[in-house]
Amino acid sequence: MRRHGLLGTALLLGLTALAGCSGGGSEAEGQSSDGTDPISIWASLNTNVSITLKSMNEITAIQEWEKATGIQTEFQHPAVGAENEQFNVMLASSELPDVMFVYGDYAKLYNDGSIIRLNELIDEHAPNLKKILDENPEVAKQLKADNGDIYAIPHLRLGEYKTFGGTFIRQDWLDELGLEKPETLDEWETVLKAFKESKGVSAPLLYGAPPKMTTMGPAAANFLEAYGVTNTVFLKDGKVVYGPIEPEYKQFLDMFHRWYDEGLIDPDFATNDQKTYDAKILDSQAGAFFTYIGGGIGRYLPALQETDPDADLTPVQFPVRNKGEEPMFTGRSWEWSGAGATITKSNKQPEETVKALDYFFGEEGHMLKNFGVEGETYTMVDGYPTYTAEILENPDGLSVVQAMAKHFIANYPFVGEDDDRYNEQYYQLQQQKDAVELFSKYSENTLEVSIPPISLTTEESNEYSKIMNDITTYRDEMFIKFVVGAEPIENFDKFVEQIKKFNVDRAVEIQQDAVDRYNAR
Amino acid sequence: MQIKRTFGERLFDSFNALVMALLIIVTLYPLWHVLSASLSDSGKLMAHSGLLLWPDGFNLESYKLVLSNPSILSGYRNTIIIVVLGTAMNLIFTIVGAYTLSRKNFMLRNPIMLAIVFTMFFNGGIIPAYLLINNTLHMGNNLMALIVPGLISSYNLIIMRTAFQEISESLLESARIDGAGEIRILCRIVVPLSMPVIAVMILFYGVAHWNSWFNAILYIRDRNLYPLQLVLREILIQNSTDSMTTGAAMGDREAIGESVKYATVMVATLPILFIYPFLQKYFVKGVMIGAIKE
Amino acid sequence: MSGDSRKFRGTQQALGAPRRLSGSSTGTESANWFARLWLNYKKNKAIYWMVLPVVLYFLVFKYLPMYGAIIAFKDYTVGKGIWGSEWVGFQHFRDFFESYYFWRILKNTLVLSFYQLLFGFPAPILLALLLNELRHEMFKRTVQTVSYIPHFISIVVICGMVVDFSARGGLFNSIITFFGGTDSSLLSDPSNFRTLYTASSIWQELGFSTIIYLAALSGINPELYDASRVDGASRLRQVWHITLPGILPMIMILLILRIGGLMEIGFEKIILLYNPNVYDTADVISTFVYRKGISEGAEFSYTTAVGLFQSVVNFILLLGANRLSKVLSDNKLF
Repeated sequence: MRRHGLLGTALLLGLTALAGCSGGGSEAEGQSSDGTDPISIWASLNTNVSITLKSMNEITAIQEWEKATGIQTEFQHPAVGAENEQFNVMLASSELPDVMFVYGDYAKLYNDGSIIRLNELIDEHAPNLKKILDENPEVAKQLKADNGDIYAIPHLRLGEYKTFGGTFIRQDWLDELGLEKPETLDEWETVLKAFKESKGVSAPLLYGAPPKMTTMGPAAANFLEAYGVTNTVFLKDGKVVYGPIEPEYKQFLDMFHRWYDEGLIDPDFATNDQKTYDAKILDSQAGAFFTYIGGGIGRYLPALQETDPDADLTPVQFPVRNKGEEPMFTGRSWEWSGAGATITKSNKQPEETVKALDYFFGEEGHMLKNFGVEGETYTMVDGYPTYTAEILENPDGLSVVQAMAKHFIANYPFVGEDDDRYNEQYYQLQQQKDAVELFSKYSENTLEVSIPPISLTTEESNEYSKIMNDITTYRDEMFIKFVVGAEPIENFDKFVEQIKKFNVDRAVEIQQDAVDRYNAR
Repeated sequence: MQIKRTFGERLFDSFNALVMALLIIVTLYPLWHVLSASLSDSGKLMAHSGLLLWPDGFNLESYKLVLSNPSILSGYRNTIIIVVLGTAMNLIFTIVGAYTLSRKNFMLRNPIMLAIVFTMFFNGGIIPAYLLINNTLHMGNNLMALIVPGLISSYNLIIMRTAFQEISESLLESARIDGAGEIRILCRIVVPLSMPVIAVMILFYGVAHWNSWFNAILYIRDRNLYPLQLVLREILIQNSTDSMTTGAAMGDREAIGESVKYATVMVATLPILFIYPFLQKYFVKGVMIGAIKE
Repeated sequence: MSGDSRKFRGTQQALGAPRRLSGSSTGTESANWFARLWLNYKKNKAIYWMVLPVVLYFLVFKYLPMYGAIIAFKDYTVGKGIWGSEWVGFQHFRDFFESYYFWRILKNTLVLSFYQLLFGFPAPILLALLLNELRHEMFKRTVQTVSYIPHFISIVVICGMVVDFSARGGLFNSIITFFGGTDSSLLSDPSNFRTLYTASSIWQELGFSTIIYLAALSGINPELYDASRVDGASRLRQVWHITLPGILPMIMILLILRIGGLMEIGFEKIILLYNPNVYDTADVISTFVYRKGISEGAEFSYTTAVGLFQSVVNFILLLGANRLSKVLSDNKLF
């Protein structure tokens, strides 16, 4: 009886509490002043925004945007880390918002009927965007599908700065040893040897940064790329090839294996996770390593200088084989970041929506997106938009990023064009400013070797990923074995043979077809 | 009854105690590590490797960050409701199900059991479940969507049934002869005799509800209804140094609190750890005494 | 207790309908079956009505959505929906079986599962028995409470510790060198992976898994112990003749369920511990499929197909284990 009573009470209490707890989720259905429904926009809520605001609707720039264009918006944000699941489930239930920020397979969404084609709408209602596309045919190519359709209002990066990460080196050690920043692979070998012998560190060259799925973390790729090839498909003289079976790959393995034997490379490279990676950097065991300009250096340098005030990390240019050569691979991103706003089939006001989104491509909208409100968040100093104290030394104690996120949208993808002048001011440390310039110096070269943003059909995609999953698994395993010496480099031919057995030629063919289609756009 | 222990038994007892003591140390370490890390300075923590026995640079920053999140309070509230209400409903259904399926005179019990076990292996995936709950049953954005779909855990049902099967049939038979109906038998005899297992069920279901967040991702839109674990997960990801969870370097992020990860674990875990000691009193031997008439 | 129930089986036979359906396909046999069913219903109305909500639950929430499994045979895209997506038959299964690594990942999955079973299944039972022998109540409670804590610590944190301890110069290596071994990166060696994986699983799950056995132990009649002590039985004999048989039904059922999970190795923990150097022993079905998903995006159909394959194998294993258990120990699931 007591059992029953307990259960019964719990039930009763719970049910009453529940009665008051039904979701009032979409209560924010306001009506705008002129009687039209607000436009619902589905987008990820960026971390820095969520610190101060509950929704993007509260961002200063968004509010100004609504005033300027006369539309009303209502942002819907998925739970952080659950964007994919909620996105898929939203599509499955056909309860679509008016606008969806998507990153990925637009063609699929269009073929499913979830989003609409935008070419005509852009021609008629988005003069600013249309102008940019007309003046930059390469950009238009990236944005269009193989058949010429445009499915999204894009996020563009047309400035100089398109590279976000690269190799950094302990400048203080270089100074101490009287060495210059290395440029060629031979110079790198000298520097790393010096680090090892004079400083006695365990990881003169640190790498193995996550994600661990492929051990060819960016740093290793940097050194491989000095040979002119990379560890996946790329363009060689305009044709698609697979890097690991090229002869240059063997030369790289030779060198890297030698470096490993001589202790110039972190011996734990295969097992590093983020934590051990960080620990080695902050423990001054690492002489050079790859990281990102913003989140990487911004994190490491201050922490490092707490324990060692003389420590200095400076950016190094991507390495080359011989003096005078230019790096080809710079990790540069395309003008179209891949992110954009799509108009769904549920949208009853597509013209107004496109028109409003186009605002960001005009002069006013551009400044609003990247700098905020003149007088409040920036002032023009000799024609250069300079952030005010509200941003750089926020009175409420917000960090620069957080203050920026509260007022405008410059450091995560959104409709419109990014602006270099934001980058220049956002990166507070001199090392970061240097890095941005340095890493972007040769970014034009990457256009010759990178595979452009192609589209694969579903069948192609299935086939490609099936072939490549086997190949990538094999490649990664063998890479480690070659470098540590478990597999002699003489067996490289067998390695190539095996990859061919996996049907790599078909995979390359698929990519080549897609590239051809892209060029014909 | 005082029967003297043999030397061999005493040796065994000492050995046993030693092993248990070692076990305590080894299993306590993870919690200790987390606690120390949550109270440490993030920068120092990033540089640290190896055993962590004391906080490295004691500070409460991480806790401040986690606990000042506007959704924490509503998270706790929602989760407590789900745990209490959910576990109560789970118990009722599971006990009834386990009881009926444990009755050997129930002709359909094996076929039904097979059908239930089948569902442990084959299911339709997220999408049909979502369509059912959200579109057909209109439970979307409601806390019920977090309780009803998981109403009976097949695994728990099987365990409870196994326990119920052990209850002497003659006991129940004499009750039936005395004119008791099945429900009465269940409530007055079976349940009191099975308190250890029921205590375990409270633990299993309670913990499952406490830890759950995935269903909330699917069904809950309103942030005010987010359960605690979902809120914490967001905080965790937003402050994560793991590029696996942060994905591409899109959007730079602020200096990250490594120790936030640990503070999150503490906030998420500590309350539930206190449940077990309360349930331990049910694990008393001889629960069957007094009920058996033979 | 099981002794008791054995005594009464005869009586039960007399009382109720036979426990097993005498399945037969001829007309009169099935008519007979329905007749017996009707009789059984009349005799046990309350039971039938009580079980109804339970059955309804499973029908609505488990069986109704089961149609979703057909996407394993389709090229599912979210927009087209389950019915609108194209049929591809066994394409996904073929893709999976034809992979160069199929046998390796299958082998690794089964071997890791088997290790978990071999070491991870008896461990909680052993601990429960040892706890049962502890004389000091407070100490016993403390051990129980502390040992179950790691279960609640996030797997990410636990694996972070394992990676840290396994690194060069880490805790494990300190112990190894203390005993005269050499310092090495333990997680780089394929032959270590199974040990590290299984040992860390036991570390995390041991305490929590004992709980169910402790509950089962509470159900044993203490008079049985008293009686045996009078007969001069040592504690060891008591364990063998009273304790173990007392919890045997629970052990067998849990064992059957465990065997029914042999093809399942979740990817999260492996991803946190593995690296390409140990793919040879660490790459399992779920991690392989996961990597494929990374390069392709939402991979519903393929993942479902692989999952379906695993489920079918698991279910067959379960049926086998059930049958074996019935024959060997008279305990069965159905």
